[in-house]
Amino acid sequence: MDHASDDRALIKAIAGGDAKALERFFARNQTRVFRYLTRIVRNEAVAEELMNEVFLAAWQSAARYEGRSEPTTWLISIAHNKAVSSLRKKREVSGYDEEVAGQIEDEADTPEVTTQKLDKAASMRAAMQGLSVEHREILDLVYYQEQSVSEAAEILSIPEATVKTRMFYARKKLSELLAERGIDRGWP
Amino acid sequence: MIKAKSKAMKDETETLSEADEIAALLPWYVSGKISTSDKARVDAYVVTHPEVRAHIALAREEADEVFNANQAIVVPRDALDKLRAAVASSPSARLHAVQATLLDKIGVFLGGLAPRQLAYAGVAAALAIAVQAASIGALLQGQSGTGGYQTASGQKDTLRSGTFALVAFQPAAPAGTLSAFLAENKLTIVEGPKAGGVFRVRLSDAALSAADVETALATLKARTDLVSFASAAPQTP
Repeated sequence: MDHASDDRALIKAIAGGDAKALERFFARNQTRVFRYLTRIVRNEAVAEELMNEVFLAAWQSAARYEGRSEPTTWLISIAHNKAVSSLRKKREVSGYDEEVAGQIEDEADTPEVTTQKLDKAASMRAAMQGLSVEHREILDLVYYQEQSVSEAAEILSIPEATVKTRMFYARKKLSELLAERGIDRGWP
Repeated sequence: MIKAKSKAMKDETETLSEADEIAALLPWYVSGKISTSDKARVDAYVVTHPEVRAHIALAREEADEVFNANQAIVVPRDALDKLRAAVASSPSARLHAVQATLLDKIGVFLGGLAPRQLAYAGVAAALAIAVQAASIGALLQGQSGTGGYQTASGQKDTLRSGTFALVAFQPAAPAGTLSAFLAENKLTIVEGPKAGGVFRVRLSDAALSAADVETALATLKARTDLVSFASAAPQTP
């Protein structure tokens, strides 16, 4: 069986109350989920708590998984909702928008940034950190989580056309941020 | 290189030009998660617009960096233990499944009984419940300052201070043996049973180090005749 088929079998076993199946499912997918959450909330402790919530939700709702989407897409959908909810609560409690603050800070040409201009890869990483959460997320969904247009649309609950354009503008913004760091990618 | 034809694109709802539509497909072209028709469209476009190859290289560069950034993130080592504890202390599909199975079995059993047998079965069930209540009562009676069972009614501080574990006991564990074991190891049951028969047990009044928590959990797990599950618990119940 391939990875997805194995995961489908595990979800079926989890729905039947097999705790060992949940542990196997966790072992197979924890890295993917933890990295996804960490990249969005940018805090490993929070990501760890959310990962627990994600697999707990999988444990409790496995019986409702109908198999229409890939197991990975189903799991990342749960993670997406947990992460968005967490970020929303954080904004409501603190009134502080790290996304906005992060972008403001990124405009400053600090000595650190100057050094990073010497290293294209480091500049790319720094520029990615300067993207909005929506743009960071779409880059991760496509390039690391390897989700198709339709799968990303399902996870984000947006139309497929919007997935494509969101990715387009994420990459465009990335080029702009790199240009601010002295790197001309030649696109757009 | 592809040049964006429109500089006025401000949001995600605007229509893309053909070149931009191709550019929008390139991330999936690179990841391989692209439909056959879209891949054919990109392939055909590349033939007539070879400059797109440079843009494909850019997308690969982005994919590599996203991959590298993700690879640098390491999953915490005790993540599975935390999940086990969370599952043990929450309503679960497993609990529902076990309840459903038990109800099915009871239904089949009762359905096969004659009226007089049914009456005897009812008495037996009542006795079983009484014995279980007596066991819990014995633990409550045996509470002491150094170990045993402590109710949590209105005493929030006792629930929060110290180091805790989530523990499930063997259904057949004798109350006397269990109480002695708890007292001997200065363990106190402060809350429970939660869903799945799990209790919150104080390992120490103080905040223990991770190594000390592991030692205490090992002591619990070693008594397989009394303990069926033990895992570190979060600070707040």
